[in-house]
Amino acid sequence: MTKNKPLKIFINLLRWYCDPLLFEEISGDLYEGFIQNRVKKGPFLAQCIYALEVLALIRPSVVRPATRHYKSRPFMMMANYIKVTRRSFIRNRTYASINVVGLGVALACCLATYVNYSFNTSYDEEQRNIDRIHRVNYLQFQGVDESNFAVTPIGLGPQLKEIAGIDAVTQYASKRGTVRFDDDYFDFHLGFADDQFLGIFNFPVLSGSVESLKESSAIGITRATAIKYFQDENAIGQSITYLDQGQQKEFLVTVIFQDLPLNSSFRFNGMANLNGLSQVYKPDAGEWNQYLSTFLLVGESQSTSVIAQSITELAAERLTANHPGQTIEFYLDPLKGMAARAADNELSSPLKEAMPWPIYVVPGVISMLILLVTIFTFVNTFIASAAKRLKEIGIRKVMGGRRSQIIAQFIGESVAICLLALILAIPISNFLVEQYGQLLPFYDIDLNKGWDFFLFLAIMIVTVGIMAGSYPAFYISKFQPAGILKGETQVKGVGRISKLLLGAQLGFSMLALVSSILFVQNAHYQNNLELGFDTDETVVVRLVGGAEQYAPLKAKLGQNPKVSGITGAGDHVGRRFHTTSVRIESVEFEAVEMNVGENYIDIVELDLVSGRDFIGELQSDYDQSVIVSESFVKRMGWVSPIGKQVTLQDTAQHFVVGVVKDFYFDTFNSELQPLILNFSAPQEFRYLIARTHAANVTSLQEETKLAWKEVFQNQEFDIDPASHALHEGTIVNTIILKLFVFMGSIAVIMSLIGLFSLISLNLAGRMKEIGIRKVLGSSIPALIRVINRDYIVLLFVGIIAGSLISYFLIPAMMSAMWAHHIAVGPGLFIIAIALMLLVSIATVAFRVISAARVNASNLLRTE
Amino acid sequence: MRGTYLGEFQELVLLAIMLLDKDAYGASILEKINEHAGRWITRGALHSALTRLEEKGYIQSAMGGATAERGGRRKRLYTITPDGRSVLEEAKGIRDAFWAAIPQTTQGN
Repeated sequence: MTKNKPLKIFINLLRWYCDPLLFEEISGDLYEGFIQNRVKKGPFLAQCIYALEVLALIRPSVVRPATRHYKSRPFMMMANYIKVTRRSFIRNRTYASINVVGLGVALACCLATYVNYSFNTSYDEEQRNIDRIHRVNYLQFQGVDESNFAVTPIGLGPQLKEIAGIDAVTQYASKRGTVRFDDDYFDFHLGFADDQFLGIFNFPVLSGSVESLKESSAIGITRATAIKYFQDENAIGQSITYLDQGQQKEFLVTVIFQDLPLNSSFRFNGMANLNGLSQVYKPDAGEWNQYLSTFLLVGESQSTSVIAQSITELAAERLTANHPGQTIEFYLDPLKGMAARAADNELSSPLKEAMPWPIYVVPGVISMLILLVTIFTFVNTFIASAAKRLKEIGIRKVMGGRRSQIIAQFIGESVAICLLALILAIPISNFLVEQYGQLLPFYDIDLNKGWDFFLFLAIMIVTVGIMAGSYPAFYISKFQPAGILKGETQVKGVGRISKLLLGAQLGFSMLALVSSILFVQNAHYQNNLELGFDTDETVVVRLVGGAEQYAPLKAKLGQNPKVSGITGAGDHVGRRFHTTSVRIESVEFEAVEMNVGENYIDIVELDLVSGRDFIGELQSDYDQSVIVSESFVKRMGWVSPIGKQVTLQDTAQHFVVGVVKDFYFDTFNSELQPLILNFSAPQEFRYLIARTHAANVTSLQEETKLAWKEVFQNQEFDIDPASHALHEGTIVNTIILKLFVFMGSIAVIMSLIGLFSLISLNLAGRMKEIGIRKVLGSSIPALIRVINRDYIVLLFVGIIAGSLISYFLIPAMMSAMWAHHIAVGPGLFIIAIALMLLVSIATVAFRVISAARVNASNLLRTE
Repeated sequence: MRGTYLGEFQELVLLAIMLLDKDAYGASILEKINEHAGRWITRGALHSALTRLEEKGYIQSAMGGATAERGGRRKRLYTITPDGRSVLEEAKGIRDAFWAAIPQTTQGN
């Protein structure tokens, strides 16, 4: 540490403060002393003495004499500019802080929604070959009906290799089953992929060799899975028992994958070779009856439509054998944007999909509206307050201030507000993103991924600052000081601009308010009112053994005091349904059929409109009774449906015994189709459904698990509080609800604040007028009328324009999002307009009344 | 002339410069003062004294050659001017006169 030379830092210190004329000799003397001390007292002490001596030399005779620095003058002026800025902030503290906070919140909303947006639109971007990978999908036409499929038969894959333009083919099946560890069961996503898969897609491997996955008993698991089950990143050599649909298979872990990004189309805990698929699933099914995802690596600059055409020629006929009477057309779905498109089209795909676009696009649009509203408020208040500083400008000019300095002052002040807002936006957006992440457990958005957008926002907001500052800066700084100081010069034209901005601002907030209210109402509607059933308070167990599992488990659970009712079913809302052909006299069509057990209607709270439920004691009910939905009745045009005869599958005669209200058997997005409930015996049960109270759902799940183990020991176990699909739908709706309540309130608050501050500033310039009117005998109501007149027109124009835009825009948007949404009637608009007008007028009135009540002599006295 | 008064410390510095003859620079002056007067003074104090003396015209300075022992830095060499020499002699004369006037009897106290 101690070298032969004195420490640089002290030499530099000396060089900095020392008179340059003395530096050489003094540093030379010090160096001489240092060398002597190093010999006499050792290097460490020599360093210390050197340092002390340097410090002791700081005295007037040695220190660099003060010289005149002409360069420092602008810096000295800068201090004055900052002082003026600080004072004007303090004088306008209400408006300044409103603007900083408002812009900060608005920027934060933009940033948070952008991060969300980019999460959803950047699915699979980590894939090297993203531009060349395409999924094989097909459209199936029957009459006017068109269905869209993203899965193809396993037998199609090998045939595709012969088509020109295709470099490689891979197939992937995504399954969801259960794994057993130490007598406990876990939900497990298992992907089956062929040998080409990892060559086309890149999933980084942490340890193990990909080659080993060619073995059908080998499995590669993700790092997180390894840690979850084996508490160790290195789980190679461990074994896993995978169970699904009554089959079970042992796997040996040979590869550990890096964790997948959450915005990947593939969501697997483990990946095994495709040739193991048939060992678990449908061993007897032919190659053309097992469906999975097929991907192509398309050669550079090959036409995808030509390839799709070739596939159609090659395979459509073979595939049509599975769907008699239908035509089939293949098309290629590029991996880029695949997840986002899958969410929008009603594609039946086993892969992970992005959120439906409204969830990440609409909040972005609303954030932009909020940002616009706050920018308008800011520009308005800034211009209005700048117009009050004419005297300051006059005096500065008289004292020799240059015009450029005044321009710099104003632009600097508005940019300063914008920068403060930008700084404030960081913690707020961080908070928002955190809240959002907590709402969505299967979601991972990271603010760090938004830095480029933050940069964009920073540039934008500074530009806004420059523009907001420019108007007063260039306009007002042009005035002649004599005119200003004599009071002859008035700011003209500001009123018109600020009125325009205020009107637009009100329009935008109206749009934000109406859309928020509508989306909130819609989310409520979808969450609660019209599902037609309620499974939130049930525990569902999947069965594979039919009656053999149903009866003992029902007996066991029946003893549990938390269970208020048990039923079984072959199909279940949100989980499973199938279609069947129905013939009634000469009419024949496809209807949704669900096989349900006794009391199913009660347990899942379907609404029986007329007739009766199935009765377990009646054998005839099993053989020939059905319950139909209202849509079914409507489809047939029946007046009294009970007792009508229905032929199922061309053979079985059934009679309608009851009618249930329509319910969303799958998701909100499915159309309500005619539906039949068929009574089935426990032999056909795939689900056991136990009803309990909301508070007991979680504990009952655990107890059910224990009961299952007690009764069946090692058999597969699958439990879920509600259906997967509907559950995610509910979460998404909850988010929309919270998001829009939040954004709607912000939009309204921002525009009211804008209104309030603008009126306040405007009134401040009209206090003399108010004083004179009062002296001449005007009453307070008359004053309010006179002053409000300007604003009322503005309020009406802005609000009506906003309502009109939203009236045409929002219903169109909602139709694009959901098959079922609330009807948008004029009632809501009347309420919203009334609300907005009321609050705005109240704001104006409040401000005006407090101004009008001031003693007139205080307003007019000038000394 | 701006006062011919010579402080005690300045007198020591002048004497040291005269003694060192052609080799008077910061470090050597400090050393001589230490050697003869038995006290260490700080460099800062020395430099103020040198600046003063140069202003009064008692010494003059010139940059000397660079040496390795100073890390290649040049010395500022001080020499005494005739003015400086006469002011020293004057000071000595004043003291001698005082000593001569002091009676022998009081000397032994």
